[in-house]
Amino acid sequence: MFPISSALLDAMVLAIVSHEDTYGYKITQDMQEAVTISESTLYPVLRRLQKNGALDTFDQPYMGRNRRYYTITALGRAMLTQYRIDWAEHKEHIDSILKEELK
Amino acid sequence: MSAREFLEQLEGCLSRLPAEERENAMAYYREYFMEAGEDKEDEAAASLGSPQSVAERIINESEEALSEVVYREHEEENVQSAPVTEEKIDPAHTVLMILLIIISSPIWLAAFIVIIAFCFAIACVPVSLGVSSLAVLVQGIVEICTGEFGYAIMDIGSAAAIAGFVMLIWQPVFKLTGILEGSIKKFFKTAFNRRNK
Repeated sequence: MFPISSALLDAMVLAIVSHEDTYGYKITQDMQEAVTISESTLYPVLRRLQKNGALDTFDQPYMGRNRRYYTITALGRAMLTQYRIDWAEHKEHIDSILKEELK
Repeated sequence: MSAREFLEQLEGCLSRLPAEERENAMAYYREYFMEAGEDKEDEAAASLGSPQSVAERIINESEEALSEVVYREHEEENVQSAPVTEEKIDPAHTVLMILLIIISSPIWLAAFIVIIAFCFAIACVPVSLGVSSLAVLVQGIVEICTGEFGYAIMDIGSAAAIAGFVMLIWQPVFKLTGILEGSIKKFFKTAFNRRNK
């Protein structure tokens, strides 16, 4: 219903990867549990975060092939902290208009 | 559409990307189909949409990142080059500049003093008027105490009139002296910046 901005996508992906190192398909599944995004949304986001130095990757063998895992860097953690602050502020602003009771 | 078809078409659509970018994206989507499971390939391909639209998103993102990198590099260049030019001081030029300042001192020193005196004279007008207004006001108050009400009213009125006039000319006078001060500063700045070139 509400569009997810690219900053919000970055923040959510960083949050998921900050919990544990994980792989692309799993991140997509986790994201889709919370918001409606298309399956093709995530690769560009992961690639961007990787290029910015927020995420790192490593390959791990899994059932006779390699699985690419994403892990959060120190920079990524710093970005996530900032995103959390910005999001709380954003939410407060929207709520100040939306909430039923008057101030 | 099968996974193989999807991946083939995707690779075709990504041909304009650098090889590294293309290979990275292909590896991601190959893995994506593996994770979905062989029996769910068609479903996964359907939920991804057309290979063309998937490719478009990848290309858009990659080009955005590219232009951002170029922009950042430019910024860094600017940041680096700015202080370098300012720090370049040629000692020979400095000596010449000092000599020039000393030799030409009869001209610029006189001009400088004239400008300063001019500023001072202009600034004196509102200050002296303000002081005289105060003096006349004091005289008026003394006259009230001594019972000379006629003179008192005249003096207090003149004091108010002078004070009003001072308030009127205060702003323009200080603006004028401010402009003169600014131009003196500018003159010295340009004179001293020249030696850096």
